[in-house]
Amino acid sequence: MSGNVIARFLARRLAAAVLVLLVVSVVVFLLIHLAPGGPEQAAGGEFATPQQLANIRASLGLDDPLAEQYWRFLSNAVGLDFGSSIATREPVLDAIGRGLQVTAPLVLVSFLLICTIGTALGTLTAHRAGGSLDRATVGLALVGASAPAFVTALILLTVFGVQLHWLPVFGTGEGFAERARHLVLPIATLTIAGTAAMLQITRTRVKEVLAEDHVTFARARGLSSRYIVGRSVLRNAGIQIVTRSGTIVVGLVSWGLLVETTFGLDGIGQLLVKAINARDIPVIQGVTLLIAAFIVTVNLVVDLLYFALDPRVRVHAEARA
Amino acid sequence: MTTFNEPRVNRRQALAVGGAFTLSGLLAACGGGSSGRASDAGPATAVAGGSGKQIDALSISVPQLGDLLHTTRAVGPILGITLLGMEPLVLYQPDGSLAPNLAESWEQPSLTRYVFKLRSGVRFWDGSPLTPADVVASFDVHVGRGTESASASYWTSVERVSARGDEIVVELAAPDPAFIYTVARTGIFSAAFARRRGDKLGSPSVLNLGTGPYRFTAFTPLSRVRLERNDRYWGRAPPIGRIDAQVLNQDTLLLGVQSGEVDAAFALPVSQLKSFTSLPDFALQNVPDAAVYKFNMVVDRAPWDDVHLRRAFAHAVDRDAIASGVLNGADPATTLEPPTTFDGALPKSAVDEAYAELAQLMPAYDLDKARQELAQSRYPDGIETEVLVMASDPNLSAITQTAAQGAAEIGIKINVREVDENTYINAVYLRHTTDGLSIDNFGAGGPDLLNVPELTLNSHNIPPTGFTNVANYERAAVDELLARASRLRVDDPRRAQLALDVLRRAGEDLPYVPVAFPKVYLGVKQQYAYAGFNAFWWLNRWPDQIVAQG
Repeated sequence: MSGNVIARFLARRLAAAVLVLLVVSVVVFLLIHLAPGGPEQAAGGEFATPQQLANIRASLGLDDPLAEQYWRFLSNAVGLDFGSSIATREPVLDAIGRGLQVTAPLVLVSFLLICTIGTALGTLTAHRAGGSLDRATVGLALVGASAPAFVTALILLTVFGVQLHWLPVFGTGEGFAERARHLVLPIATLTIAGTAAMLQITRTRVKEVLAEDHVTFARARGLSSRYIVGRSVLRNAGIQIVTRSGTIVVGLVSWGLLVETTFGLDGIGQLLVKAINARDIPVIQGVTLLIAAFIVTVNLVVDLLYFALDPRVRVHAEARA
Repeated sequence: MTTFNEPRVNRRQALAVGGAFTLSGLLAACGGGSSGRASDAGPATAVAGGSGKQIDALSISVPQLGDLLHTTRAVGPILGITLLGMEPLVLYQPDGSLAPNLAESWEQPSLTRYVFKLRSGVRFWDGSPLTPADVVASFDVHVGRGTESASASYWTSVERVSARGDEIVVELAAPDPAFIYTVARTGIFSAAFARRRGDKLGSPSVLNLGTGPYRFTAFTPLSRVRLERNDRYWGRAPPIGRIDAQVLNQDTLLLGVQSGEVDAAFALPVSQLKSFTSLPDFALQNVPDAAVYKFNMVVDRAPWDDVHLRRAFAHAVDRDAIASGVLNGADPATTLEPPTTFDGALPKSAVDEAYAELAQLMPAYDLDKARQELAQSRYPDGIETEVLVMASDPNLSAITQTAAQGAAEIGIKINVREVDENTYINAVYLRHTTDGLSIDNFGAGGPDLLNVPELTLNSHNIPPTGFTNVANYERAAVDELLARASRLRVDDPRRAQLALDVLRRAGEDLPYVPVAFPKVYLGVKQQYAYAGFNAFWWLNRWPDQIVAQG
């Protein structure tokens, strides 16, 4: 395939991504300003006098025309300068960095586990469709997926935190080992919630592919089962699995928010919730843009994986080019 | 936690329990008092703490932490943590008295002048000496037009703070009898450190620098603070090696207590008391909070400018049911502050008599009378209105729903709408833009008995000059009574009479319908004992009150 095609595709998608981010930033900006209450209260506190609040509004430039405020934000954001939190004075990037130390391992490790466990169990059960292993696994996964994340979290906390005292029930922990210990239950919660979706799509697709002629033919040629699954079945099922992975990883970000609350973790989700409550405009803008950029990137990666997995997509793209 | 349930104490109640002190006696004692050498025992926290074993680490839950580790952002329970690092000049004691702390003595030569003598030989954690300039800087951040201090409204009477040798002189523009409590809630930080760190002071990477018994070592805004013992503390050795303070949601708090990770929890959520009571190794204690749940009616505009409508609504609120049912055994309220506020200021019989009279003024729960009042109002067919509540205090919603049932029977339809904290505070407090009826949990910021009447009834506290007079209640006679009280010394018994007079006027005019005085709960693991818990625990040096047992 020509690198040209991919380059053009990438350029188009990047242009679209920038547009998406711009739209998100405008919408978020307008929504914050439409919401009642302003950040001057976060800066001045609950007992601030009206005079103080007016001073703070003026010093933050909140009385300037909206277009001017937005332009100020945008021109700084281009240089990755999101300013400092109005409430905590901390540079927004520092706050995001601190949050990511919790949220990044939480989401990424959960995602890896979901992919590994989901595809492995999905492939296994597809081979034994209708058997007792299949029914038990799919049933269990469904229970995990249907239980709201906070219920799963509470059950895990009660068993492993309160009854067995194996793991801490709240907090973030300091140092690698402590942080890891504190993240075990949150990651387990997310993994339980997300695995069923991955298992289901893998199982369905693998089952379909197993019934296709090329697999029968491969078997007839005497190829090993492992070779057939690796080179033929999973690759053919790949597009749907990758698509589902994209939605799962995006879903993990929003589930992560709930899980952070339940486990008292100071991640990106908590940062956003606190910022919204305080109308802390720079932090809200920074975090929403980060999340939007993450989602856009995930979609882009998913699209690129299509190219890698399915020659038909490449051919189609070349034909259009 | 609600945002405005700051205060509570009540010095007088504690005094009545603790003995026959009077504040004047205390002030005299302090004025002439301690010698202030480095060997001085420091704050004389009169509890068992001294003999207890050292505690290596204590994990506690607190209702609130600041977004900045700074005195400008510390109000109410947040002070329970910040004052351990940045300590005040005078220390509010569990028994309600005030003890010398960074000030080894103080005096009040006139109604508008305070002089504090700074203790010598005190050093910040980094070894630099504490100077009067640090105190002036620590006071000045709360004063003046440009201040961003959340405590600014306590400092509006202050005209000038200056240093004179080893003394700090505070001059007031107008008498403020409760000012000494403002000093007790104001932490002292290093001016040099503050200057170096500029507007990043108090942020997670900078923290703050004080002289207190505990050093700040880690901070996550609004979530957690870690403190470690200051081994070079000038006063009595701090009994706890490390304190981890965190704000936890209700479910996590319960799990934390069950798993043993939380050693003590301040201000337990009333809605979950039953769960905490059933835990085997966790002991609960409670004291009356110096706060009140009340309905506020904006009296300067329709429809609540109609006194018959207000009386009709008051008759429809079943206080007893709310106090016992919703608030788990709180006391029903017939005025804005609990009678215990007056303990020590007036003989108990006089207080009882005055409160009986106040109870008479408040329309009792009686739907027939409510209907009669409504019939006399401009709205005989009733009205429909919206009341805002916030999720952080579930009691607001529960109380309003209960009251709405009674009100609905007489034709006042109340729609409850949950909004976020910022929206609520703006509408109810800052801008007064509710439909006219609102509910809040209100307490004052200090133990003075005129604090709540002043904040809720003085016309000065209507926007734009203030905002805590949520009902926009304006009566020249009430303002005059409050002005007279402010010209008296804090311990003058006539102030108590004036406070009662003001409450009586409020009872007649009915800008507020007080509902109940809640209690504040503390839970502590049974291996510890906590002595002297009171509604103003956050003004005390509470680690000195915890003892490891056995």
